[in-house]
Amino acid sequence: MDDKQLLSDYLEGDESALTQLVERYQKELYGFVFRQVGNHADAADLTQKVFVNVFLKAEQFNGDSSFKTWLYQIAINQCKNHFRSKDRQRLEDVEVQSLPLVAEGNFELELETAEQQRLLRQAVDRLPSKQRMTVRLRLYQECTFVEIAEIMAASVGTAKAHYHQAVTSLRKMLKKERYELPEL
Amino acid sequence: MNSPNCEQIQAELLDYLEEELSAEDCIRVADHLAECHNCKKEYKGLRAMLNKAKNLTIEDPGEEFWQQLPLKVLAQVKQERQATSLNDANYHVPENNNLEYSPTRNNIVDLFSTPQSLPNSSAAKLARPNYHSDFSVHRLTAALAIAATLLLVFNVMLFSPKSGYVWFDQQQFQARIDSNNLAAVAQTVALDFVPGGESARMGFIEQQRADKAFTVGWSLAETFVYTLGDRKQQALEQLYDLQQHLQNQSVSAVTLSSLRKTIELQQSADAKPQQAAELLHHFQHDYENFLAHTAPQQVELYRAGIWVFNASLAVAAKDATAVERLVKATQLEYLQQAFLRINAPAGVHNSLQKIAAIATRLPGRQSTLSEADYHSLQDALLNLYSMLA
Repeated sequence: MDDKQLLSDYLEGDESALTQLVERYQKELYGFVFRQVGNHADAADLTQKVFVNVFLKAEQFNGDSSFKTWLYQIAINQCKNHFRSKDRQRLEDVEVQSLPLVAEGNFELELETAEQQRLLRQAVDRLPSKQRMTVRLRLYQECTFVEIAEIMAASVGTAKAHYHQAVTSLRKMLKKERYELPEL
Repeated sequence: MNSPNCEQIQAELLDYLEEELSAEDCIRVADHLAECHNCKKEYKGLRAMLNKAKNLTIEDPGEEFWQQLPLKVLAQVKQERQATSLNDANYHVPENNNLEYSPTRNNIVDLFSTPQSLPNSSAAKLARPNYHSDFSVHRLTAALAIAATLLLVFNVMLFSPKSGYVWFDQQQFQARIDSNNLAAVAQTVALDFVPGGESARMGFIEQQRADKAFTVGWSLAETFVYTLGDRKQQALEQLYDLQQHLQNQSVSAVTLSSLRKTIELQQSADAKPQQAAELLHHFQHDYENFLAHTAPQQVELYRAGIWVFNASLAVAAKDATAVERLVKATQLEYLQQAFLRINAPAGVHNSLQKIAAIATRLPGRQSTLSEADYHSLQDALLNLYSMLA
């Protein structure tokens, strides 16, 4: 069943439609929010708030965009509010959480992978906000440029331009670190 | 670069990887990469970076988290929808009434602070009661004034002229109402409820622990009354305590900003009670939002604190109409349901049922509580307070 039908069912009183929609999007939304805030506690809290807001505002969804687009618009606003309300530093200054190493396997290889991931995260965090959001939506959430344009309230051309600028900047930053990523 | 063409090819590599190029351009780039070592190296580096970025991992919070999240979302959505629905039903303000109305303010503090409902204290004829030396006399006097105030306020808030209820003439009361009396009654309520009497009032918030949302709600409602009675010193003492202890609990600066502004306003010589009350309204709303996002269960206790204070105020004033309205309104039903949800002790339910039972048998036109009902209601409220504070 598609998202809009589930939302419509929820509005007609079917609570299982709500849980289905949450189950459908919770992992990718949590991943998106986690990459904004950098820690589990805030990510878990914000993910719940985003879903709660979505269903409290369900009557306002006019169906012009996809449910996913609407969900991410609310998520982006919620993340902005989070940083504003917490009086936090700008996203660029958020300390990137170091990733735990897995317990088994080749330790040196895993260390190298973790270091690469850390460098990449830091590089993405240093991008200007629109580029950073675009690259996250494109690479992590696998959004199309049309979806990104809708979420960011911009044209498809602008979304592509942000993405190009972001990737070019990332390459430059990683080259500056003299860290060439090996081919996978 | 091996040729001037390399610069253009490298600018197209991202589109090539994203499959955004036309078939013709795609072949052109592929042909170049097959021959140019530098461009191929750049292409591999870019591809590796994008692949790595796509596979950036985050720690999985675990299966239990994924199972719980939909249930938590459903519970919170239901709770908020229910609260909003009750607010809407309970606080409908007629269209021909110009009172400011916020459906999220789920308590009756508004009743004591709505500017149009406030008496003009300069028109007061009653002497300020001395509750230390002659408590019973002042209480009776104040009760009359408060009864009049509450009757007026409830009618302004709840009934339109078309509803069939008597529309009280505001002029009848203005000469008799002094909001100072409301503040005096509020202080007697506070004294009645805090063991140890007046000496225990010092540092009230500290003793009652401001980390308890119930105490914050109670104290905020009390502060409202002092604010409206223009008792700046008492209001400021409460506000200082609230601010200090909420800061210690890491309540965000944004949430506390309206509280800070209220203090600044109260510190100024030309502070208007109604302006300060409006700022407190903002804080009341902001703090409830803060709790809703950080400790949802505390929201019910916070609302209960406000409700119990206001109910106690109405009982202290022996205003049967106010008590009846407070208890018969869906707020009591809401509190009962809320306390069931958060597994409150049985004593809490018993006290609420006792209050409901007394209010139900109050005669419709009785304006003053009988002594028996007054004592029974006060006992029940004291029990509630002791269990929740």
